[in-house]
Amino acid sequence: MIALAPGNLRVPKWTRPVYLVAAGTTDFRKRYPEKRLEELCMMAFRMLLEENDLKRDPLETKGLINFACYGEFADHFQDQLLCEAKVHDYLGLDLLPNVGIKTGGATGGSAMLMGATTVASGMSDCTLVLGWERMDEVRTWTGNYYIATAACKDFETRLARNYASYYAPMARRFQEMYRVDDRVRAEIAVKNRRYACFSPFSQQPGRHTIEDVLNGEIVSDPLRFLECCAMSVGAAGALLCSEDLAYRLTDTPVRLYIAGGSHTLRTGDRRPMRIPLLPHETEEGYAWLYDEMAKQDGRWPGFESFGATRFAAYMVYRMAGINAPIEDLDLVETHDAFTISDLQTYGDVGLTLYGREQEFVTSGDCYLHNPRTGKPGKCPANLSGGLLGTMHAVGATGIFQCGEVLWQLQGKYDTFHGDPKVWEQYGKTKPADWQSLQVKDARRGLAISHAGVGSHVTCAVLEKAW
Amino acid sequence: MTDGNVAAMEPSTISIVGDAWILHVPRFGEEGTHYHTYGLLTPYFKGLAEGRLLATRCISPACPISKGNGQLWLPPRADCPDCHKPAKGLPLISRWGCPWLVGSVFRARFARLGPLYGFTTSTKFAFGAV
Repeated sequence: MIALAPGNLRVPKWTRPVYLVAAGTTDFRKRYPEKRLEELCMMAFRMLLEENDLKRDPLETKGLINFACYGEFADHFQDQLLCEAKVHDYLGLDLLPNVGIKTGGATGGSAMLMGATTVASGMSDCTLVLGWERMDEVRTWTGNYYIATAACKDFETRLARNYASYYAPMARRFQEMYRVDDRVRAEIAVKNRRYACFSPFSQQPGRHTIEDVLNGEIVSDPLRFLECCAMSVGAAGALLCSEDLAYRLTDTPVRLYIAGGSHTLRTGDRRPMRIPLLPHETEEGYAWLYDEMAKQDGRWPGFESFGATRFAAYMVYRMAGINAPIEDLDLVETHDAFTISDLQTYGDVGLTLYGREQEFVTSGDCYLHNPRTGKPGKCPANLSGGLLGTMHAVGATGIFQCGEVLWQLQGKYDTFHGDPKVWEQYGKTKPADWQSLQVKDARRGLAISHAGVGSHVTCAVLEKAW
Repeated sequence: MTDGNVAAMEPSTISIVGDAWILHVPRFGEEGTHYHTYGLLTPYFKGLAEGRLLATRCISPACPISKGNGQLWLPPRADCPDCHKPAKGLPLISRWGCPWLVGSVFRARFARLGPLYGFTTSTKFAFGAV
């Protein structure tokens, strides 16, 4: 049993507000031999400075930077320690301070979190957050071996050197406990890969059917091939500012609130606890769930849920004044490294109650256009194409997600995804059936960055500030 | 480095994808080989193999540091760190009038052209070492 003391539940109180004003990214590919890592980072940096309609010219904006936070998941992949120093120098940011941040799959989110604290504290008025991963230096199976070192070496890794194998038992347990059909997971894969078709940045867009997913090869039972993200190469960046500077740089800044949580790497070792309640939840509302868990030898968070995600959401909703997530949020980017991690997360961040996660999909609320009702979905998920369809160059992922939410809130989905020149820049042709995935009048979005089997998670609320 | 040590070095293996050279770094045997791309710096390494030493410089008049007449970068950079202009369109510098040539490689060795991720066949290939 874990029991958090009231002091542990102190809601973060920043000294000053933090704003996101610009983002940049590369496209993402399984292999990217055309460019070295630093050259990819420069691509994202240039886009950040040049293509966000900032009121200062790119080099003037660069001249405002005080601090850099870099996200890179694994030195193994790059076969290079201290990439941060190489990238920092290559971007021409010497002698400014920089730190490298590593929290597995949540590395990008943690880099955003640390970058935000540099601004919130007054350490910096303008912080560059940039992340990358280069997973094409090794064969895919060697890459899987490397990634699996993010499981516990003593008690888990030797059971399987494939990360899907750590999510597969969670999927099994979740579906038994909450009676979920395989088709619900498959629908998530179909949706996110289809949304990726409209993104010039995407690595594996695809127009699949639920049957395509279910007929695919099993990677680790019950997870099929199309339910798993791929090795990825690319970089993404974000520029965080103080309030005063944000409004000097842009008329459309976005307020950023971000918090984190963490939990043991070993899923089977998670001690049970009472559910920390989000503002819209009550103990009575979960009486049925505790009864159900008692009947089914269950516990919270168990194999079904992510305590770290719940902790991060608990904090960030209180920071941002979110009282009813499904009503207050206009879009969400989840960490859909596997369909099951996407599905499990809906309960953790309160888009549904725990135990009812599948309803977020079956209701159609997770779509831009709800196919069940023909109306707009309540909180479209992963319009970027997510990790399944667009990218998971790990250190970049949490930053890329925030960038996509930023552009949605600024009403710039079409600018960044619909311009044929953007597609051509990456050697692609804009599809003839391209559709805008711009959310109408979006005011607030949520971006969830997630590591391991929930070892580190950040939740970021981005809010239109004009 | 003495001649004896050079002779004892195993020839490097590279693969070519498009314009890029990819160096094989067999850290832990075949399964643990890192296939490291030289990306936009490939012309530099190709130059070495052809007996030429290359450098880059910034020629962007808008650059606040180089003002269009930058100092040599050696090792070279594909992008100027001061104005971010990409190397594409930037001529590599010449000492003797030839736009690419600033020096000559004093020793050349052979490298193998090898299978990338195990997918192509091997042939002999010229490679330079300074």
